[in-house]
Amino acid sequence: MADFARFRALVFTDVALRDALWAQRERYAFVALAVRLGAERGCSFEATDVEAALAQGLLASLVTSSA
Amino acid sequence: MNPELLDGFVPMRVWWDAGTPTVDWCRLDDLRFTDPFFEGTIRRALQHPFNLAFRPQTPLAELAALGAQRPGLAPSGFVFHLSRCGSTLVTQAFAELPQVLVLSEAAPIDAVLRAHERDPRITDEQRIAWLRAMIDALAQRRTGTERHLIVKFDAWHALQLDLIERAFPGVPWVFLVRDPVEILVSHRRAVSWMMAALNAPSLLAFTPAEAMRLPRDEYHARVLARIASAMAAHGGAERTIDYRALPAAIWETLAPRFGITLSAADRERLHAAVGRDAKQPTRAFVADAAAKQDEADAELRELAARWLAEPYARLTAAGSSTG
Repeated sequence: MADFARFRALVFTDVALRDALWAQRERYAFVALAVRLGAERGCSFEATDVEAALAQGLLASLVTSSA
Repeated sequence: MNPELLDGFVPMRVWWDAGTPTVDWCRLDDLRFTDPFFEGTIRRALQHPFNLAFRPQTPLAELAALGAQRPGLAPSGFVFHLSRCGSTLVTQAFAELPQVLVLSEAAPIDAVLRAHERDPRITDEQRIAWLRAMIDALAQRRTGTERHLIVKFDAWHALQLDLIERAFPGVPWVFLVRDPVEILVSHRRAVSWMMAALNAPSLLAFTPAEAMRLPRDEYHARVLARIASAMAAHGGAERTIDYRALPAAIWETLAPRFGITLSAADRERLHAAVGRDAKQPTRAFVADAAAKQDEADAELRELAARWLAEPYARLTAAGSSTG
């Protein structure tokens, strides 16, 4: 999971990486792409980590304050 | 955050991260705000997995600095309203014009305006700076054709008009109203978030418990009265537009007041838009004043007379566009 957090930080320092992910809007292909692009950058995480981030992103969009 | 990395993104919400107001950004690219409400467009954007897994987050305090490097459109006009009186019809019509960007009841604007309710140490000056920065960030051009920005505020933001005018001096605004009986019928038919008891402290200085003890129709009338009275006290009559003047007031009053020049094609687009139901665009718009009047019982009429007749009369006195 730490590697996924590192990858997420990379996405917002690298326009090309950001846009490569943006170009894929189909959910399952997006998860596979994120895992592959992560591995290419030395970030080892699983599809389940990306799925968890998708779920967390949906949940977080519904609340306005942290616990 | 490098501002270039936020190209195509807009603030989608403000949340409080251990006491620090924080902005969540969502990528829209060329997705325009054409839904009846801001929330609808964001919901569409969240269908893209990127916007779930990789939303950038920045402290609200950094918004102004980010905006300085990527300025958005300056507001052409503001729309305030008493709720359920045609404001969505107005914004949906303007959203049909490619040169107009419409923000309709955007939650991040509400969060900034109400930030002091979360943290009383937040000053008016901070809220003014954040409001300018938030609207600027939301008003990024996305198609390249936009030249005008119209912001429709939530109904209760009329209570913050002084602060909004300090943030944006000279920006034209209008206040939309409707026969209070018809508004009360609408609130009786369908509850709104505005009328939730948890909002009672900011709307009426009531506790939620006090609000819940009031009969619902009376609570609705008193909230609406507070908003209408604030607008009347602010001299809103000169800028009041009554529901009865719609839809013609959109092209005859609002567009010129907001400095929007309409071509023949623009007028056709506006006419087509007002033929649809604003909140359910796949359905045809049906004028429903008579139906709402028929539905109102004696109790509702008494509440309208007791709480709303006086401010409504002041707002719709000579000088306003009442149709």
